[in-house]
Amino acid sequence: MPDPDDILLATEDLRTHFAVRRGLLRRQVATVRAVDGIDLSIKGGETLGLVGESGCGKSTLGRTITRLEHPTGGSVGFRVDNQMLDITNLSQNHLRRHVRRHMNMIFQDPLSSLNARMSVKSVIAEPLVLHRAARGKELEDRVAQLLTTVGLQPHHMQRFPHAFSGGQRQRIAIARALALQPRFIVCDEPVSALDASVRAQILNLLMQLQQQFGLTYLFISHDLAVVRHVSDRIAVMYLGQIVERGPTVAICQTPQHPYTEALLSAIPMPVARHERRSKRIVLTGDVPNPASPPPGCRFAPRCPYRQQICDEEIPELKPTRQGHTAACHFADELELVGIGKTGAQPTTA
Amino acid sequence: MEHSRVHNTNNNGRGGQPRLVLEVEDLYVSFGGYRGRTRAVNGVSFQIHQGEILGIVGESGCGKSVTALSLLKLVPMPPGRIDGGTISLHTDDTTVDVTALAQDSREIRAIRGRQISMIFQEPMRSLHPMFSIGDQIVEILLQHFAMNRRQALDKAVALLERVGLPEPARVVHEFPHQLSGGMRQRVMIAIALACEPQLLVADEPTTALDVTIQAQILELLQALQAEMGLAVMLITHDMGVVAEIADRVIVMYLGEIVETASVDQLFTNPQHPYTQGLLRSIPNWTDQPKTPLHSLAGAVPELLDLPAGCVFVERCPFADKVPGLRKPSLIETEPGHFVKCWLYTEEFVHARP
Repeated sequence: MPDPDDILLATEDLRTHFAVRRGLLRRQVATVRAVDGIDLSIKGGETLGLVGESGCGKSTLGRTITRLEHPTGGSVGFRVDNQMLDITNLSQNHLRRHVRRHMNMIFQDPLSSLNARMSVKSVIAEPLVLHRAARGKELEDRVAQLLTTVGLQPHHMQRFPHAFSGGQRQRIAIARALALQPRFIVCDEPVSALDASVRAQILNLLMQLQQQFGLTYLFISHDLAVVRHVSDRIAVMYLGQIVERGPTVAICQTPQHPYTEALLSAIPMPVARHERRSKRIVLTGDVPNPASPPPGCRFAPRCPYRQQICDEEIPELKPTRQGHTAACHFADELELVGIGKTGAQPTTA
Repeated sequence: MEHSRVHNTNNNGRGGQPRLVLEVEDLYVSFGGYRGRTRAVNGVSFQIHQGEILGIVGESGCGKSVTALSLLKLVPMPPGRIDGGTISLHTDDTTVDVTALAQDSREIRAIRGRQISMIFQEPMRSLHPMFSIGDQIVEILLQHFAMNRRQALDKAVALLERVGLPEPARVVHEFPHQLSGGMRQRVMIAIALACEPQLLVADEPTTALDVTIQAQILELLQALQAEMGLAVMLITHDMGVVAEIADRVIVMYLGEIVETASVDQLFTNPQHPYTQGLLRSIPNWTDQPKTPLHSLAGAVPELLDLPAGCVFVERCPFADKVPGLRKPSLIETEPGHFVKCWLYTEEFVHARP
């Protein structure tokens, strides 16, 4: 366990449920347990990668941590001025005044997260103005400086978002996120909409900014290859819960949860046939409906190693012999296959 | 993943060579606009044989989708225009030049769905929300075959079963919104294969799907392709998907083919600086995490003002060593491996790293 003084953000049994309402009286007919009992902690200066498929609750978790979504239960602690502050039930007013400037978000599609009617200057200046952090000439200098930091030119501030390419727009979104010098940034699929050659540029920028400003990231993505490249630790989510977490390389090389193994195995590798892994696990079926998760282990219906106990008892997230944490009854018994240990090297260029 | 490549071919007795299904020669497609013509496809030539999966990779705007749409005359005209070239579709006894057919002619409609069919990225946008799955499969069967509704519906159930949908007899009466993304893409595949076409064009068929579902769909495409001896043109931006299921690969950049090779050649020995850069920019599973990735400088330029010479000149790390103003041609560097780059000519071999 890391020194508690290093922890920037911690959640405990965090839950975010959404009511499904139907009919004229909007009666609640079901509850979608988007985030269902998440314990995690993020150290200052590290990147925690959060992977999972669509609908697993990873974005909701990111939004709940930043209090864009109000949690149904559990707690979120965030370090402000060297004090752990429970932000679970703080009012929006209080959050705005004391917490918001220290955390920010970057989204997948910069075209929809940037206001098309605002110039780049006003987009980036907005948080500075709202928090009364700068004005006049100072404001303009600060915007110019931010643009330079993210690899754009100061003269770009007169233009509007549509005049930029996808990668440049994401740079603008990053400049805006950095405006108030936050400590923590939630990156929600920041490179998923970008082409491969531009993706590498943005990932490099994010890693370089982290070094430069000592940023802490929660990096949310469905793409395990990308997450592996930028993260210190990885948490794998399935149906609202974390099924496995641990150090990046360990998770990829020696996964201990069958879902992690299947995720790794499903990734198409850009390598010639003779370098291919021999074993491929193709999961059957789809992710179950989060409104009615399976009774035992949530992954059991799709798990190739399922036993009777899996349908009956919920596995606890507990330390395994490889030194990660996994929620599987057989985590220590299964010999699961990862990527990156032997052979299977992509890219030979 | 080791897949036995079953080439189920009906050879036409031409020395064991799989039958040629489609031949595109020197295709040019452009779109009119108030800022001038956007030249989306510039002199693209390739062939697809029976039982082969041809992967076309490239980033957004490289012309891969426009090439695919041209095969079925689906490019909206105007503003689109085929400026030159031929697309020859070889059926058992005849050869048709698709470019010469009118967009709504009876001839092209007899080809769409029957000889060449297509699946797209988002099945929900291709499926009609108000018609049942069964209706949408029956429609294409009745269009092309002499059968009654009852027979067509039975065939629809059989098709759904073949693409691996659970409970096909129930699904046939359901509507698209009742299915998951992966199931919808299976339905699209069922519709596309209903008339047993010669060529399936799959435009980013798995891009909208989760990685575990993507694996299912790729596996299905491969199985069906082997079973039916189908030719598949797979369009994708994902090098991994191409490596996984294609036999041959075409790499496109700014409307041109910059490299083409067998999958093994391309991934063991990529030659064009663009292909090399693209492959190196993909996070590697043996890299130390949090190290800088190799990245290509700049972004894909606009198609409005294309460079006069090599299309990649603006981003090429070797551009200063070769003539930027002259256009290179495709050079065969090893059997079946072609690259459009000055570095592979006698003249500039010294500039190669």
